[in-house]
Amino acid sequence: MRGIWTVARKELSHILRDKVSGLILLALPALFFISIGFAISIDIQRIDLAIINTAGPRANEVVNHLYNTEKVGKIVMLDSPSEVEKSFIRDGVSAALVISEGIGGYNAPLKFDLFIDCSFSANVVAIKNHINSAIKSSIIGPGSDPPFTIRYLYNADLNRRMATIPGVIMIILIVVSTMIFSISINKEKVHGTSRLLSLTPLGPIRIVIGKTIPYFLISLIHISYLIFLGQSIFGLGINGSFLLYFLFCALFSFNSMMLGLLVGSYCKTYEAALIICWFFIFVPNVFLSGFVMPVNNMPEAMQTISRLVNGYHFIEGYRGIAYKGTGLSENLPFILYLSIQSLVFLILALLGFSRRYSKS
Amino acid sequence: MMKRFHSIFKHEVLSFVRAPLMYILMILCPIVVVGFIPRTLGNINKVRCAIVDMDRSSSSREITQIISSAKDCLPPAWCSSVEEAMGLMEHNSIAMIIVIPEGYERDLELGSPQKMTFLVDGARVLEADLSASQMISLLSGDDVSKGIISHHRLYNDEDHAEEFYLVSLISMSLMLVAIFLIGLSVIGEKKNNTLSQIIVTGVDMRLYLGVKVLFYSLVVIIELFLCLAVGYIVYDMTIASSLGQLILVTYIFTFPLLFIGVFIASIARNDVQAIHMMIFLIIFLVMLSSMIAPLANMSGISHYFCRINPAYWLTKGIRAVIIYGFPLRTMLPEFVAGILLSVIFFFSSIRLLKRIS
Repeated sequence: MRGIWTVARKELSHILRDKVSGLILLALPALFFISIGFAISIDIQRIDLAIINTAGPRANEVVNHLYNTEKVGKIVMLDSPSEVEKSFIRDGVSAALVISEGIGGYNAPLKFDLFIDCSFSANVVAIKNHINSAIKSSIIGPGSDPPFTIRYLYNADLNRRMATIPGVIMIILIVVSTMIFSISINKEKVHGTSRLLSLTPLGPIRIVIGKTIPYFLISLIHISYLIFLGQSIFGLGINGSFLLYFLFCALFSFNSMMLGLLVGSYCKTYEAALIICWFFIFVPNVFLSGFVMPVNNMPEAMQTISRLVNGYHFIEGYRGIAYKGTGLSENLPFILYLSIQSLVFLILALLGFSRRYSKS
Repeated sequence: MMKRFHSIFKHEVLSFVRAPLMYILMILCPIVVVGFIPRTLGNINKVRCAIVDMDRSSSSREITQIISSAKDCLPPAWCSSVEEAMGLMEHNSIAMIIVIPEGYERDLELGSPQKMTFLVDGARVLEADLSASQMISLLSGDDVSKGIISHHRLYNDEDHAEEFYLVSLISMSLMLVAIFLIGLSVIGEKKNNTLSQIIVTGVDMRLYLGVKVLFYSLVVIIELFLCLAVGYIVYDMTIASSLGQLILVTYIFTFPLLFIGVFIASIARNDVQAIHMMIFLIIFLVMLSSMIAPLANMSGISHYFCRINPAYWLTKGIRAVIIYGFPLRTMLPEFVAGILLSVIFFFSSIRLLKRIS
């Protein structure tokens, strides 16, 4: 136990001695959480629109109505339909509306051609619905009561931050627990201190535990203040058990650390560790975990691959505990998966670590 | 001058080639990231729903028929009660429940029909939002606008998410290669003290950094070709504009990123500090670059951060050439900003490195 504590103290003093690194490690995740939490949204925030009015003053009412429509941001008036495509990149518009006189002359109803930038497919329906309803209401006035009511379960006001926050927390925990931790493991090799450590009677298991403790504590600090920031800034309370939520986040953090340990124990250089962490851990977790794209909308074969990614289990479990208020039994599959995966990573990492120490 | 240029360039090539893992990873990354990840992204607009038809009348059948045959809906699950459908939602088999109330047809004939209820899984906000919008669009009827409003889909007819993210992933690969490789190279020189040794040989720091940046800009272009090859083989990706324009836009916007890498390596006191800085900076640059979500989906002040982010310029430029096919003169302000930013970082790095050395 004493040996473990000595290694942990050494690691902690390494982190705290370098003030800039310490500050980056402790304060930057908070800044990241707040800024990215505010910045990224899953739904379109403002529709910048280009309008080409070839129908003259008759269409002024519709144009004025569009100016006052919620979500319609900047409106760029163009002279001819040939400018439409250029406007998409030059003015950054999301859609272009060409208003022309319908067939039949002056008395015929106006004709509207809506060109939508579909490159980001998640926005298409929202753009179409917003512009359609604005045009309709300007032509015929407010529509009649819709024949349905929509109720959002577990999120009555449809707080859109609920979509991004689990992903942002996942990213922070992966960065600190996997990327930074793997660099810390790798550092001993690069600086040659692993040789010195191998001469001590500690053995690889105690060294690993000792190095893990400070980073795990830092992760726990992150989890604690992310809960506080999530609640105070984004109004995201935890509907389920607070203890379960905290332990689940801690389990994911531990899982990520074991992944970092695995990478750090096999890679010989910082470059290799960084690139592996980035391309094989960070990118798959961002894209395959359900943060960017719902996993159920992926092709079936790919859904299986997505379910291998640890971030998927974290986001699913997070949504269950924090939003739906589910308990231990409902989240047991995610907890079991993360625990077993952690154990496998730990065993593989210890094998790599022992081999390296016996070599040095 | 040319001899020195040649010697520094050779030094860079040798130090790059001597690390075989680097170029193995450089080849492997486009295959994994560009070749594999977009393949996993399906059609985001497909609605997964369950129908609880409590009326079982011809009117309710008409509605269920519309939903079943809609191309934007996956085949719905048929449930006899809301509880049964809720069970499916809890197991994440569906994202939406459509409840048609009892007596719907009778009330419809009387002129005051009860409303249908859409129960949407709000815990999955993205899917909830899209499902509700799709269903509104499907069932609200478009009689007024029929024939008056026409919709034209541009740049993505098949409604697939992969095109947007393919460009994002290409841009991300290039950005990572640019910042990491040059940053780590300068850190290595600082740590091994070779930087001090090079300076005492009389080599001008501007020339030294200039050649380093030039070499790594060529590495980025090689990475671009690898990404394009993978994109073409796996996704049959085509370039709407021209390859020349794509190389030009990548080359121009790579420079600010390379100089950011050099700058971080210059201000960091040690290798670990530099890596910590790079990791967080890159995540900020990625998140605020329209790689994950377009600018229109970002709120307020983040628009301004985006516009001063070189990763955003790179992504916008690559997207403009590959997807939109627009002339690059539309991005002239970004070009100027990119050059200015490069110059600022270049001279700041030189001053810092000279002081350290």
